[in-house]
Amino acid sequence: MQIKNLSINFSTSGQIIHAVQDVNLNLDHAKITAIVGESGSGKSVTARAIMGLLEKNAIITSGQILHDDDFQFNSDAQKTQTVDLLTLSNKQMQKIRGKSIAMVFQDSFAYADPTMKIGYQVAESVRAHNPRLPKYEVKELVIQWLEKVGIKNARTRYNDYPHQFSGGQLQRILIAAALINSPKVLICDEPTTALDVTTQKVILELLKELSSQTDTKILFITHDIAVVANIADYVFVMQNGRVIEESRSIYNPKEAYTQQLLQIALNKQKINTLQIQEQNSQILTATGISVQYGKKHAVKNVSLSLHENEVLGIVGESGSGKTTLIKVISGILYAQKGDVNYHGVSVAKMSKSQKARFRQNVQMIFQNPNHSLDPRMKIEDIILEGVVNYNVVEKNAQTQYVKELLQKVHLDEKLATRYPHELSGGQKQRVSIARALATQCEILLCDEPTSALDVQTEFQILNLLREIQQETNLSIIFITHDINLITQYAHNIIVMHNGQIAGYGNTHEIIENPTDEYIVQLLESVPKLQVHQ
Amino acid sequence: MEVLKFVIKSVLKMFLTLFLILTFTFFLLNTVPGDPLAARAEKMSESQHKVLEERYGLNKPVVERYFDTLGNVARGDFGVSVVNPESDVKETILFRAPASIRLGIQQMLLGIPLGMVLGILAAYFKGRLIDKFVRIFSVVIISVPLMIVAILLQRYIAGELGLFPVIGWPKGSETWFGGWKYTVLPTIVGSLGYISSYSRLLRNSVLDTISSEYIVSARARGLSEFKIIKDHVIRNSFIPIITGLPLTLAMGITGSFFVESIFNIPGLGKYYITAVQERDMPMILATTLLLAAIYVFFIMITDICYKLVDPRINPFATRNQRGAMR
Amino acid sequence: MKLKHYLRHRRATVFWIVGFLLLVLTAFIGPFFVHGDSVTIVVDDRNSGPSWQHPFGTDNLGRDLLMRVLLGTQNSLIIAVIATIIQLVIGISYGSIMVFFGRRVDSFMMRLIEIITSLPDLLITMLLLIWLGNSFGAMLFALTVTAWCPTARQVRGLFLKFLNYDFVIAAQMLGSRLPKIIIKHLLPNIMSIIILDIAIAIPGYIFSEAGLSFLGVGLKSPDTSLGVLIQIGQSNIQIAPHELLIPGAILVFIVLAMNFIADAIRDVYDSRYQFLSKEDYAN
Repeated sequence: MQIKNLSINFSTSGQIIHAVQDVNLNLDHAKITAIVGESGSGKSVTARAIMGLLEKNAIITSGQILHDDDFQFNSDAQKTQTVDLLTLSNKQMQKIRGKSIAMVFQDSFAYADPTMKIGYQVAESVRAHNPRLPKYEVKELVIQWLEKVGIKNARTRYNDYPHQFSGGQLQRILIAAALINSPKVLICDEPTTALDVTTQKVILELLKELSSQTDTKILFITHDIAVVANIADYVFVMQNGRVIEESRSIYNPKEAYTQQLLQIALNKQKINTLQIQEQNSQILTATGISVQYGKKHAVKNVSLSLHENEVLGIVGESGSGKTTLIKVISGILYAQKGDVNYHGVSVAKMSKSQKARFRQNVQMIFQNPNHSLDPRMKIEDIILEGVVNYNVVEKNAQTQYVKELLQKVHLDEKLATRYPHELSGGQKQRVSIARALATQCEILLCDEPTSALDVQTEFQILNLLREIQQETNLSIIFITHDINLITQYAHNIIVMHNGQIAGYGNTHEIIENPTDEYIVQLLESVPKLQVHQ
Repeated sequence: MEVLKFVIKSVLKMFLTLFLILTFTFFLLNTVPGDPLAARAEKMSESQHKVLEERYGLNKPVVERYFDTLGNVARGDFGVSVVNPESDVKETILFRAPASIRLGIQQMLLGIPLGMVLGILAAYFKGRLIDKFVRIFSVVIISVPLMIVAILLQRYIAGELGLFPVIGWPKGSETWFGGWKYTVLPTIVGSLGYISSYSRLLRNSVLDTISSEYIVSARARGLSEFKIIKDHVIRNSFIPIITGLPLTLAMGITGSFFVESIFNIPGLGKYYITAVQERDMPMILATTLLLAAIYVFFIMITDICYKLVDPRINPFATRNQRGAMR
Repeated sequence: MKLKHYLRHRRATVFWIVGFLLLVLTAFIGPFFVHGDSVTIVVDDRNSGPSWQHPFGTDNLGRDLLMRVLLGTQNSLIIAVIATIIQLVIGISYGSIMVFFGRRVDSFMMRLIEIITSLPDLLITMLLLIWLGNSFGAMLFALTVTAWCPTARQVRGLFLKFLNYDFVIAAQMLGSRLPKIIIKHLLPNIMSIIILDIAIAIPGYIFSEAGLSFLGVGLKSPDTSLGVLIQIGQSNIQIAPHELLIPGAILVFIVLAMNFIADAIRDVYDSRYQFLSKEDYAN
């Protein structure tokens, strides 16, 4: 398959966006080809164009998508020939989709019909292209494939609905539905982004294995350069709708942009050897925290302590209880068992004034920058909300104070009179940081503050946090699902699993000499780049 | 087991609601200022008035009358009309019900399927002629009061052109079947509301479904558009029909007031309005209770349907759950 | 989508907005300039067609129809607007109180709403009108007695949804208390929905008033409203169809205009305020 000079525009309310510009791709170089790029780089649009599944407001302005296959709709059937997919009608594309080119998407729950049994959904793929195949044969084939992708008890689970599976299992089923007709090309659009690292590893291995067994070529789309390094034999790098670079290996980039991406990814694998200064006292301790929802423990018997100027990383996959834990620490949520002490005083037994002081001193940065700022307020009012409530500075000094804070987080002071929707995601997170710092807090709780941002912005925000932490004597608790993110910054690290602590200690020790089985598994699952010195 | 518990609870709740409605209506009607016998007062002498008061129990205190009424209602006795003393309320209602029921069924049979088909077509051909037609049609229908449509059709189609009778309803052996010419206009007028609301309901829900990701993935599997509609779209967009059920009932009850009173159809709606205008309290009480019972019963059915459709298989429920993670 | 951009491309919406405003102005200022007599009964001049003296003709009692239509439109609009205000004020306050107190108070108040909404509201309205008689105040009370419930439920639902959003949790951590959060963060964020509610409620009330008056359980002559006029018009349809058509057309115009305005509000709803999803606008 070959894509030549593909350009696609989108028109939204009178504006034209050049989503894909003059893109050339060739899948003949390798078995597994990857496209790597940030959101908005045009990689998913390109994939949808191949499938003929573009939104209605997309216009293909130029280009060809050449594909070799034996097309049955042609008069001289069974003869392999090259066709430009863009010239085919929708009816003709139906015969190619799912048969000759198949696709797997990101969020498996959204892409499976919630009201249809999964067996039927897989069987649909078969029946759409072999309408005459008897029903029981279709069923047998489906069960065979479900087993092949690792679904246990496939025969009974045939009749289950999507919600009865986990995200990883459902993604396997959708992979089975895509591969069941042995397509020539399988397009995977960020198939592991919504999954945990341990599940991601299994899915990636499954894809590799299946592609080696058959002659299916895979086009793998991702934003994660480390994943690319682990799965692809050939890489295209996309940025702002263009392919800026292609090569056999990701390790020797020519373009500055790719070099930067690689450098950031390599930096993330560094492990610090920071130690907490001995004179720094404990400011917050939590002992025996347990939170139950119904009969299920979200957090079970967790204890931790935070020192002055410490960075504490809490790592865990989804459902590990890390967010519940931080809610308890912040005082938003009360734990059924256990106690949080702030400067030696139990939060539950605080007097009103102590409680106010606690509230002022513990602030939080949230995951989704779009949800953490009131869209109806100006930036300066957002930053001043806590300042007014806690009476931090005099009224006439407030404007100056906002300016200083914006400087501190490296934002233009002109932004003070803007509204959140006029800012980018990174800028919004900076405003969140400024808003927290405005209260002159002691502890900053960060709940995955960078997971909604792209790689470069993530790097900048992390650096900003470190800079602030070093200049002041702020303590930070940093929650993340990505263990690599925190190993270069955190003094101590907590690994959580199923609501319990799997490991707690100095970052270097935890990573270098993992004792817990789960941590070993987690560290193995994280896709790594080889470090060339 | 849980479902059974829920059903029992719903039924109990329904009876409680009906009891509340009865109590509320009774006290409301019995504290209306003025003489409850006023409708017939002028043709009566003092002594006749007294006799009637005794007959309707109006000489007893309100609370005593309330408990009498409760007992009577439980036994299925709704008393006698104040305006026409010879007519028993229960018999009148039974005599009048068939016209309303037939009208309601005919309206729904015409309106709901037509509305659903139009809604699906409009969604599928979004932005095309049929969509524009359906949208304009439904806006016009909800903007023009039923009564005006009814009056105009009556005046011009029936009156001027003489295609159908102006008023009336099939009687006797034709009560349930036959006498169609009487029913054409009332059925059309009454079905308009169903057509517009069901076409909008279906249009929105089909559009929602079509834009779902799992439709994209069905396309990616190579399914034909027909199969996608048949197996995925229709199945998923029919769930809000359950939501539409109380709406249907409300429309059935409300619509019949206007249609029956304009076309002079001897049904419950017309009867209720007459009773209200004449302040015929026993009639109002009984009819209110009956109409409320139908309404409350179908609300209960809706609740049970919701419970039965597993919220996790119900895409609308899951979408809401995603929205409100609390 | 920006409002200006939208209006530039939707001339029809502009037409409906301007037309509606003109109609409202005429209904309220018109009576000062028109010298028709809407009260005195003139037996010799009944059901006459349009003339110089009576541009809209006269009604079944010889009263000037133009004047009666103007006053009727006025009355219908006033009833609708006041009822809308009552509905929103009670609904928003009730919803806010539920969210503020939460727990038992909330579930008790919610149960109350459930009971009220499980009753057929048209029957309730009619019963109340029997009880209260035919007057302006009775009409307002009967129309709004159940109508605030959906508003209260909607406001509660939106507020609860917002309470889970990070910016509200952040406000809590920044020391803002719940009443302040409701006033400063929650209310401004549901403003567009409230405006939409207004655009939906007004034609609804105009409709209900007209329907009730038409059935003879609402306002009665000599009081006038679009419903009263339509009811009189129906009885004279054989001799003077304009007596029905004129008030009917005005009613349809108002309702159509409000429908298009509501649609415009839905379309223009700003994607900047992403916290309101399409579903929130869809009732």
